Amino acid sequence: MWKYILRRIFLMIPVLLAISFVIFSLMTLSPGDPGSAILGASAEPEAIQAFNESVGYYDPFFVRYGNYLKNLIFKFDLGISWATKNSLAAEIANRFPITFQIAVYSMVVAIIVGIPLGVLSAVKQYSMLDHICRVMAIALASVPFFWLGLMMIYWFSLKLHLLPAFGATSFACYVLPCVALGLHYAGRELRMTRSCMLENLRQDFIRTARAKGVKEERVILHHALRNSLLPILTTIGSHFGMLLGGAIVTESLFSMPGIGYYLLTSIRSKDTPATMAVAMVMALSFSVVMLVVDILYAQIDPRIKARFSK
Amino acid sequence: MSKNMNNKKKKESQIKGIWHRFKKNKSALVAFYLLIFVALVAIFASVIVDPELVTKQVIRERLQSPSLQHLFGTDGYGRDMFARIVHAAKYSLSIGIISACFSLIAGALIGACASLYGGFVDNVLMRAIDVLASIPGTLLALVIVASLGANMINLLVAISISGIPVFARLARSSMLGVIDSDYVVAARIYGTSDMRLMVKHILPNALGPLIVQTTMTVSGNILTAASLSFIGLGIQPPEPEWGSLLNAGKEFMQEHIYLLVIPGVALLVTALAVNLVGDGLRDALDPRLKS
Repeated sequence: MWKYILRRIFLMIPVLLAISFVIFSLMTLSPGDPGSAILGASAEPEAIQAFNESVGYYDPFFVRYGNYLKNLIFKFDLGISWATKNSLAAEIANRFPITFQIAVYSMVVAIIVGIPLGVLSAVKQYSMLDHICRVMAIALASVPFFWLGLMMIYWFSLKLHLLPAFGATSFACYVLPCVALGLHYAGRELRMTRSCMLENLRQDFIRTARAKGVKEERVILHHALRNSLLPILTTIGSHFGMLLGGAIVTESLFSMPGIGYYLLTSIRSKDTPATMAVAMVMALSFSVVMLVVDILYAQIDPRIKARFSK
Repeated sequence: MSKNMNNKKKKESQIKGIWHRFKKNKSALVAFYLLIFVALVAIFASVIVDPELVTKQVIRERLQSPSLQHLFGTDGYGRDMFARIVHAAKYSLSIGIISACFSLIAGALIGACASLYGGFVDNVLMRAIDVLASIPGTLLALVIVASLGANMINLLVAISISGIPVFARLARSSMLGVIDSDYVVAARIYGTSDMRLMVKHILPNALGPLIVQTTMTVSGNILTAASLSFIGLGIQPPEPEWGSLLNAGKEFMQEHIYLLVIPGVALLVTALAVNLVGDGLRDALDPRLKS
């Protein structure tokens, strides 16, 4: 098992390097230079030039990229924000917990709604319930989730005054954004669960279990659902990773100061190092989540475990 | 000559068969007609409403609720919302369709090279795709738009690029499924060129899943474009787009909810129609997959 984990971690290194390269090259295309941004527009051109030279702005591309990587890997240094002049690692560390909580709560909503409905819909295939679930899944996948959020703000905050519409100061603040995001992903989870369950319910081992006289609940939960969990786990994992790096629109809609919101403000204020740092952290956390999913996958699936245990 | 005619007839009957199976799915059929309606609205937007009305500001008439004179009311600048919604269809639909087609073509090319040449080429291409796929789509699109600047072309490029990995992987796997079949081997022994092999034998047989994925991508891309416009990084005002209309309407939410309901419903209906058509197509293209 350890062999498998080490192998996966080792394989991740070139991918991470390549991701950092893609983001770094994209961001060098964006306008602005550190000197004029930090010293301000009123500074002497010579001073700006001297500052740029001191931070290596005029160095060749690969030298700059090398320095960036060196600082990132050995000092966890993501650079300095042009807007606030603070260390970006600290700025992001302050905001990450909010984004993490949004991702966790949204996934909880998606799992609670999506998986049980998916199982029911597969077990009672072609019934009224199945029909409703299928329509719901496709409708949830088609609803623009930020619009769903807007409508929820309108009803639950402005009209009924039940829940706050912005901020991240209490648990109540997380309810609307996480339900809006969670429902969006619940539709996808539902479809995935349904199709996996349908496939497994037709397998021979289900017939065998039934022939043995295993109770129907046990057949469904123990034999069918357990075998369906693997692909479902992968979907959930990738959605969780996407939420860590993709709750940008939701965070901005609900004014929640997570890293997504920070990314957006840094793009708007043309704070290039901040944009790059957040994008880097988001892409890295997505990759780490996918790595964890892969390892869990191997842990659950005895076939993979067996292949690497010798 | 007769061989050509036969071929034509065969192709026709295949399309007929698909249409026949598609027709049986009532919700997909309704969605298909709805989609044609939205497409017609987008194409003939300038005929339906005078394009000048889209940006014409009448401050006296600002924030009017829907009435006979202004079917969907007016916005904060006194612009007619009906004209803006109708013309926005053009942007939303074309971004969704063009970006999905671009991802399809790029992805299919990469997948074709990977599956046809295998070995080293396959490895290099697929590792590159792995890297692209390990950056979440919205994030990649956002970073591209942020570094190149927010406008329609950059939005298109950004969304298209972030869609490539799915298509490349799908194209590779479905082409690999075809490449080992006897008729491809036979064509190879016969001395068919790679190009002809791809276009005549492999592509047509691997196209089904790609078409289905394209329709699903269209709806996803319409929503992504709308969400990027919603946070101000897509289509720039005063050009109308459903997402940016929602963004503009946000500040008048308390009193003028129609400014949010109408563009949202337009987005929802279009995305839903595309998804339903995609579902119907999947069942029609491959009856075995029907669940």
